[in-house]
Amino acid sequence: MAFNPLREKGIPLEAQLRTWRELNVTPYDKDDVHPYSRTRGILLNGIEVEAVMFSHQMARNTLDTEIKRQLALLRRVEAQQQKAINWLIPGNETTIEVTLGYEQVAVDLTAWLAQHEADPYLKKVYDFALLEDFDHLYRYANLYELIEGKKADEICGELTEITPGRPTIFEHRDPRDEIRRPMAVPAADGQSVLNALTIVAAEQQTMNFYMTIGNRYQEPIARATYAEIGLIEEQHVSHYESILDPAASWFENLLLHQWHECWMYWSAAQDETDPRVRALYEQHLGMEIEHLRVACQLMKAVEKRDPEEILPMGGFAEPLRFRSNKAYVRAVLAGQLNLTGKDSDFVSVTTLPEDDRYFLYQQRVNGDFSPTEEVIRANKEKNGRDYRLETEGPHPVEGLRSDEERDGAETDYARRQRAAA
Amino acid sequence: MRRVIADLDAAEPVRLAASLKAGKKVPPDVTGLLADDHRTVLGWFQWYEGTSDRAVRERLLPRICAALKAHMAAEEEFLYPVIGRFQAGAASAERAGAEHAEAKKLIEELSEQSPREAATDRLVAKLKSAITAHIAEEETELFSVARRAPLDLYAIGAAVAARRVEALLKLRTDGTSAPTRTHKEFSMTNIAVSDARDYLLLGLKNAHAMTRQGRVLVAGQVERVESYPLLKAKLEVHLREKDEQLARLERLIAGYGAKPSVVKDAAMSVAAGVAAIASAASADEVVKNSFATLAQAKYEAAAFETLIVFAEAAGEKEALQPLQKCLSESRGLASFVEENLRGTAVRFLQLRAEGQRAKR
Repeated sequence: MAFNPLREKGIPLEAQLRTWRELNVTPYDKDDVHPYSRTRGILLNGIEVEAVMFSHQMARNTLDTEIKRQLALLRRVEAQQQKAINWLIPGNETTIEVTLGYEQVAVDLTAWLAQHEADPYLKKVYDFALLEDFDHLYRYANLYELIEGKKADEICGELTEITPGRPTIFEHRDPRDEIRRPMAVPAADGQSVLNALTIVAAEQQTMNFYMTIGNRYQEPIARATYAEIGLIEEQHVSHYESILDPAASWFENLLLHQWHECWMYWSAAQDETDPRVRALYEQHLGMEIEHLRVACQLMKAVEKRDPEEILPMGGFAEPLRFRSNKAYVRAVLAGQLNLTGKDSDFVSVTTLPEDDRYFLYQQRVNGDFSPTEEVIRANKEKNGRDYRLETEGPHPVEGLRSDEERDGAETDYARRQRAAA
Repeated sequence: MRRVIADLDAAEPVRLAASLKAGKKVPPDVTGLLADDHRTVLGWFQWYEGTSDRAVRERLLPRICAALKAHMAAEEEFLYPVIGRFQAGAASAERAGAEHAEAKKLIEELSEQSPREAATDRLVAKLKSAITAHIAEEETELFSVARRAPLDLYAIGAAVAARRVEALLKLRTDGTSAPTRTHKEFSMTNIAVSDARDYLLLGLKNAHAMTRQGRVLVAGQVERVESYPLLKAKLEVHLREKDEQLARLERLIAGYGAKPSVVKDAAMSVAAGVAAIASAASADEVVKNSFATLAQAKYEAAAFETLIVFAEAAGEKEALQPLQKCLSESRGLASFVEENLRGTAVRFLQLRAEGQRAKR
């Protein structure tokens, strides 16, 4: 089962470039695609975007022209890979439909990572933001029904429940409480490193996506909702990127990126059910194996270090898989809804003093209008109820069961907020 | 690939220190960096204490020790000497150095321990309390001196960060802190809690039957080892332990709303093999009984250890302590018998030589 890309032979770099015809892949059929096939594509697009942007940043910090050329060569292939994957999304999938896919990634990816994270602190980091992305899915599902008159389970299937998480209105925190403690790669578990690289890329792409497409609707409520949730994604990128090892050198990071991409495609190729898409992932894995080899060579040449000393494990033990995580998400909902960030830790919101910077920030940004609450109110007005998909029984948090109560419903958050106001 | 930079082969490996010096990395304030390290290692200590999964503890311990060693080495090299130069900080720096020495001694002792021993956990607890006290003092006294003193905390932070990473990498290369590569298969992931619960309950019932069988085996010997006073005393103690084990198991089983007797036969077939060796009365029965008792005690220990894993996977925290106690008792009997195999055999031969049949 274990797979070590360092022991494999990849596709030679010169054979990696593709024609426009090859890159302009036939999109999937939106009525036929498996929801997790959609999420895999969204995740891998995020991984490639990170690969490209990281390479650009590294190039800007590189004085040696020859190394810049090497980076440019790798980067051109990564950019092609990004096109091949992102162009799987069909043009008739609307912006909110793609958005629902992004949030399904956030829920089921984060839940998988949390369950495969050995370090208790990092597990808390994942569980914490999981509940927030889970709430975004609910908000967007209601926006979808409100604007396009359709139900989100047509996109997400019944694989992921859609119901309130930590209400988005309460997710807005002072930026200083978003910074977590960093890991040290030489001291960290190999899986922890892979997990962190995955989530940073995924959340970063969600941030990029909302900052770009959030203005594509005419309806003010849609524009406002994207603006509000888009800023939470900015918070999440700050939250997640702060667990990365800040002491890693540019070459270590390049190496880890390529190593990580091998894991991603190795996983996706095993998990994918559509044979055409699986073939694409297998092809990309072959390319990444070669990119990893080049990154190893660069590290040896410039830093005089043995890459195998840095890479966390002898190989990958287990592939990342998209699977339904309903029971896990419910357990986290039941136990951790009231948490908020405080410095680098997580504390119950009920323990914060009333003049805490959390409440000051809340008052500043929420003012007298919360788009993500308004979406629910408006959809309830239109359809007589909010949209929910609760397949496993009533909501695990009692205060979030009734759609009568809004403004964060009857949670400790809401009570604490009222007390602070 | 073409050579990227001429004659780089002769150069030193690029170090974090060099990147920091060249302004390619933003340096940390030394007090912030060290405080983050403190929170991380305290979290790892808590993780160690909070799990009864030996596999987790075994891979966590070298990580804790490596992180502490790297952290202390960097502090001693770049922070303490500087602080010691200030009148306000001399005493703090000296005390901190002494505390490091104590911690290092504990780490040294730990490195000589097998991670499976209970003594290891006691040492870890000792190390944790030493480190916790040290951190409290350092953060309140030494750090406040550092922040008031005319020092470039970022420059010191850069040196500490670089030294710490170098030490970590070196420890990794030396193999002293290399994470085990097989631990993935031991991680409590991809587990269905309800499944673990089912196996826990089934296992508890089987353990109950097994323990009853073990009790019969021990009880049958107590009266027949008059000539082996040491063995007799241990067996008597263990007979009482067996009764307590049964009571503990019954409480746990009842807690899950089941009756222990329902599946009592399930484990008999295995234990019966062991018991058969012991049942036959013969001249050398005391010797044979040693084999059987040792096998039975080890069998029980294996069963209890597995039950602990199931209980942990099932999230049944209240079952952990009683099962741990059962495990220690069975291990205790096993190691007693094992250590006394020679004594028992010698005594047996002596008694025969005395022309006296070994008393039953």
